[in-house]
Amino acid sequence: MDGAMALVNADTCRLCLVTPFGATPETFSTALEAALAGGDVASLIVTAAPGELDRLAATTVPLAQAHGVAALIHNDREIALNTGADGVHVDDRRADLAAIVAALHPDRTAGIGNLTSRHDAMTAGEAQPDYVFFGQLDGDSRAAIFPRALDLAEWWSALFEIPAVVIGGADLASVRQAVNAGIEFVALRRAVWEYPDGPGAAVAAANRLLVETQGAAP
Amino acid sequence: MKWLRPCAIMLILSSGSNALAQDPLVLTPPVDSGPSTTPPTAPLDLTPTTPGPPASPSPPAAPVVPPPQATSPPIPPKRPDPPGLVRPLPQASRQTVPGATSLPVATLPITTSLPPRPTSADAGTDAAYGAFQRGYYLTAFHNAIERSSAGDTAAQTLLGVLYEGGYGVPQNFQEAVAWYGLAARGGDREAQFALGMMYLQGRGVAVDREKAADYIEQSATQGKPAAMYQLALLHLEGRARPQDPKRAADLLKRAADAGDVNAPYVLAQLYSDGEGVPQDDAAAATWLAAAARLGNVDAEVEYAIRLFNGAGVAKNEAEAAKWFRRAADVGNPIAQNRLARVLAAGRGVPADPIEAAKWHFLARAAGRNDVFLEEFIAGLSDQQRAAAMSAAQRWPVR
Repeated sequence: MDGAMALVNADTCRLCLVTPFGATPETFSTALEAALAGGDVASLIVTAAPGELDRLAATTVPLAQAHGVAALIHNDREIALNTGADGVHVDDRRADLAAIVAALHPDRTAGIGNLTSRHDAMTAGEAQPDYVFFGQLDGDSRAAIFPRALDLAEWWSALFEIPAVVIGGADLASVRQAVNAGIEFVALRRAVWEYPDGPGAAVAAANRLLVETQGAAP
Repeated sequence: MKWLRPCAIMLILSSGSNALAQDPLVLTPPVDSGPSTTPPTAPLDLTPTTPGPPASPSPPAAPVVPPPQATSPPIPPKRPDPPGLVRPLPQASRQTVPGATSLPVATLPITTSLPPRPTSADAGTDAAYGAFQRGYYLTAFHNAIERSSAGDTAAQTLLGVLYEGGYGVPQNFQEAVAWYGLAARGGDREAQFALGMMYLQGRGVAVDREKAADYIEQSATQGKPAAMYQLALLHLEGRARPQDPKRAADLLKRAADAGDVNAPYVLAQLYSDGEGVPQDDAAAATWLAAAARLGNVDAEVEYAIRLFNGAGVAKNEAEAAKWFRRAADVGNPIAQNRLARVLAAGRGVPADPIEAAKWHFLARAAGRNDVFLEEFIAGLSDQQRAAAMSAAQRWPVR
């Protein structure tokens, strides 16, 4: 244990998934089943176009839960309640975060995203969510993690008990960045769904990378 | 799952020792104005008990003025009718309270400081404040009632404080709003700020962010540091006031320079992010240090990490360890974990395996596990582990 890394807890990073753009119950169930069979996943954030979210949630929530994976619905508490989902991922800036979190607790999980500054994150943290999410759900356009999201998530994880989630890059190897920054969760989207060998292989490979990097960290 | 409240902004308000050291009159009001008047308990408070005035003082055996009963109308019978006072409609405002509470509270920190003893006031008001400070709430109430009829805004504000906090009188937010309103219209900056906060939190009135912002701005214009701080938050939030990080940063600097205890930490965040100010790690570290010295626990941890890593400040592991210890001492599990690590590795402090294990046990009990430290304690002797466990169990008793 030496250098700047001495203070980072690089031993707890787990994987989250975000549903892909254009996912439908018909097309997505097989991919999700494969992904969840591939290895450890902590949670799945279910997002879709407004008119399609309820249908997608209805099929994906039970599937995720059957694998012991928490299913979180993007911005829609009603759908979360109707589908028996584990919680809601809130990134609507107009939302009253404290009220939403209070309405979900203690039975359901509440996460807050769309945090673009330290002050934003602190304000969100006051609402006592179960996690704070840095970067956008579709913020995986580059191979690596967006520097701003990584910076904020690293800062948060070093300071606060509420765990941070950072959106990973388009490349699976970006999970290493999250481990080295001591961030508790890394959320993948394209890196898993567009993986050449399929989502199951992607989840397995991502978990291998997480374990390897954690082992190498001081 | 239970998580520690992360927000320094709110935490510092309950870290009474420091706040009170600076201003002996700072109060921490109840967070919520729900139907019950019992303040909610702070979630997993890391700070020592706030040495403020007791929330429910035992009244003297022979009260000077019988305190109004909870069921009595919110206007005290003895209060003379001040010209121009618009009386609140207690029924209407009561109905609006429950739905409106708890919502805005978390977006902006709550702080209501008792107005400092007015320098220009005469002996009567001074006596009222003096009585309040001593905990003679009924005497304070009696004196303030008398003074308020003569248009003494400081006395009117004090009455608002007594009603808001339930000091010597049944807690009554509508009544507090009425008195604050009277004093605020009379130009009292303390009352303007207090009234703004009532509107912001929906205490005794329906939430009205615009009115809240107006009153807070009036108070800020008159130079009240806490009002400048709140106004800055409103400019960061961008709802009741236009989003304007530059103006926010400017207000925060003025508030911090004027001694506001919350402004330095937010200012440090703005410098870290380059929001409203140029990104500047050195300035961020400087303001973090200021916030840490004011007893902001999150700032202590963040400043310690910057010191340890030499980020924006000269690397100094010994100083880092000192700040970790200070935050660990008040129960911050992150700081306990970091302190355990530096003690285990002897970084900035002499290596001390038993102390390291002790702090690790405490952090672990608070939900902060650490594979590195688990391996570290596995390498200790049974005796060392037992000593550490025993020390952890005795903590915080030394």
